[in-house]
Amino acid sequence: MAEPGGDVLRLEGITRDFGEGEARTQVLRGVDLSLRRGEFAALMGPSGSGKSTLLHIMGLLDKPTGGRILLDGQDTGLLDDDGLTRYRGSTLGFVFQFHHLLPEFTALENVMIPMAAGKGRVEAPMRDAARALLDRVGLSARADNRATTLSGGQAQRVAIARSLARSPKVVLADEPTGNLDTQSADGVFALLRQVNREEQVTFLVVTHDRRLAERTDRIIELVDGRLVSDQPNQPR
Amino acid sequence: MRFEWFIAIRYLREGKAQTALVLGGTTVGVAVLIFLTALISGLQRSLVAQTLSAQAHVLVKAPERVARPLPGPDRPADHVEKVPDRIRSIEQWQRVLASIGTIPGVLAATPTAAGAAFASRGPATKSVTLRGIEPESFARVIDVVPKMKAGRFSLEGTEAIVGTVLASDLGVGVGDKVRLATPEGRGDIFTISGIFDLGNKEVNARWVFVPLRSAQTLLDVPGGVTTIEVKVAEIFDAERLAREIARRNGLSADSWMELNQQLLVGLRSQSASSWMIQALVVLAVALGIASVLGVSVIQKSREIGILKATGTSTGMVQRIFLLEGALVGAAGSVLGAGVGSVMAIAFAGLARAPTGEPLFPVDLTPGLYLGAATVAIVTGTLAAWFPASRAARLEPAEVIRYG
Repeated sequence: MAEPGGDVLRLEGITRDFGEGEARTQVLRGVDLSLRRGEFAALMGPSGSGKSTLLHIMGLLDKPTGGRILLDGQDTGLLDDDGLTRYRGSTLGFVFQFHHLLPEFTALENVMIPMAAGKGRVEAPMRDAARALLDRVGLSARADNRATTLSGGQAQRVAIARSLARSPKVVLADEPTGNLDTQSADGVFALLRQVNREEQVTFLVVTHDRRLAERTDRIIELVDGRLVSDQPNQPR
Repeated sequence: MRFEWFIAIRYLREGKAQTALVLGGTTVGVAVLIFLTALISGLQRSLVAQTLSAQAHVLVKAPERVARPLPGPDRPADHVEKVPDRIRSIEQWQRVLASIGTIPGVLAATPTAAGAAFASRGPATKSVTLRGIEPESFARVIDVVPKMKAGRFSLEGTEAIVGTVLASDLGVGVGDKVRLATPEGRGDIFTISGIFDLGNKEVNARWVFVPLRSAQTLLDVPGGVTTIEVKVAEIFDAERLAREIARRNGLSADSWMELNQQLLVGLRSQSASSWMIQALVVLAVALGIASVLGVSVIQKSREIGILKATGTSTGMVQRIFLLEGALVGAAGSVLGAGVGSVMAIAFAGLARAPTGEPLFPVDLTPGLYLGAATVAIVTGTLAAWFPASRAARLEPAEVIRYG
């Protein structure tokens, strides 16, 4: 278990290649990176620098070609597919650029799905827990609306509530505000920050937006699959 | 509720057009299954029942006598003449009758003494088959009582029961007298106690029932019987039981199946073609379910990726789609059973014989519904196998990024 302030996620020499033979391209070229518990970090870099790939590898959605991932003290290379799914479900939360809510379900149900998937059953208390999370992101009034009827900002707030459904240690957010207008983006970013402060959840937020990155504790920059800068930041 | 059910039911409910499409296909498939099976089995049952209305399931007779040349080199035989067919009694028939009654699967057995005779009244003479019977045990083997058109099915003293055709040929009714005589010249006067209609013109024109004792006297087989007629519990078991009876008693025993081979061949080829049609229908339904679910998996790729990213295991994803197939099969079998039953009943109602009897009796049994539902659910699940495996194999990172 990670101690407060200790590493909750550690990457050691992560490489990731795509393609075979001639067409082989190295997207990540040896990334070493640690995230401390309760940290709120921004990952920046130009398009094609490998940000999303790195995020997917950290999120156990993709496997590195080389290197080691330690998540909450567990070497994830030792887990099989089902083990990875379980571990991912219980320790990680995701927020994507497009909210990726399931359109067949209401806001409330979308938040419940990770809980139900984890237990293998849909249980009544999950409803209350999901409602509390929606309340948290300020959307309890829209709990029973279909995901498709929500505005972009609302949907992204539901997605944040969903990422918190199983009390993760780390939330990975891939341009969570990239698709929102400035006002909504500020609101969503503020919400992430608030959750981080109140619950000591570690956040790694991929963003293109220097202005938003300046509001985090740490700015990591990736260029051509390598970390080129990793600076603590004093949020304004 | 289990997680997989929650997702699968919602996917089916929300995917309205797709669900309607596969459900419609499955419903039609099950309806065809129900309709065709009900019709064919009803038709076959009625054909068999018709055939067996005047026929015992197994006929036991004395073994055929085979002439053999006497051995010895000094008297070589040029040829062997067949023994003339004369009425022969079954030896120790009471013992044989009792022994047949103990064979499992045999419901009833009755002794009869049968032979050729003439029935005459005034100037009218008809050639008939004289059948000496014990009415009570006979009625247990051949269901003749409900088929009596006039009088009653009982024989006392010198009473006789004739068929409708013979009664009209001779112009006789219940209470009238007829003379029955054998070609050898033995004869007696009988009073008609009843007239039957066994649904077979030949039988109605030729059969004359008389008391066993009277027939034994007329046919000159005192105390003897020529056949023992047997009813079995399971009609398609008749052949096996006939062999069993023959083996135990050293007699000749023919099942109705042997005596009606052409009918049986007809029934078998009818069943075979019906099975073929049903197999093709099931295949078409399976392909329909597989293709629609396949499209749905492609459309939902990104959602499946999200489900996996949020802790849904590969096995769960697979079960969600298998469950969709099974649920479509289950719902389709309920709807199809309704449609198929309505079709079958309507069809039976349309085609009626002049008597008002349905020409095409349909056989809608619980077993049929159960069978069709099993086929539909298994087909749905198997058809979903390929799309489900495809969904389970999706890599979340790829589908989230590229869709």
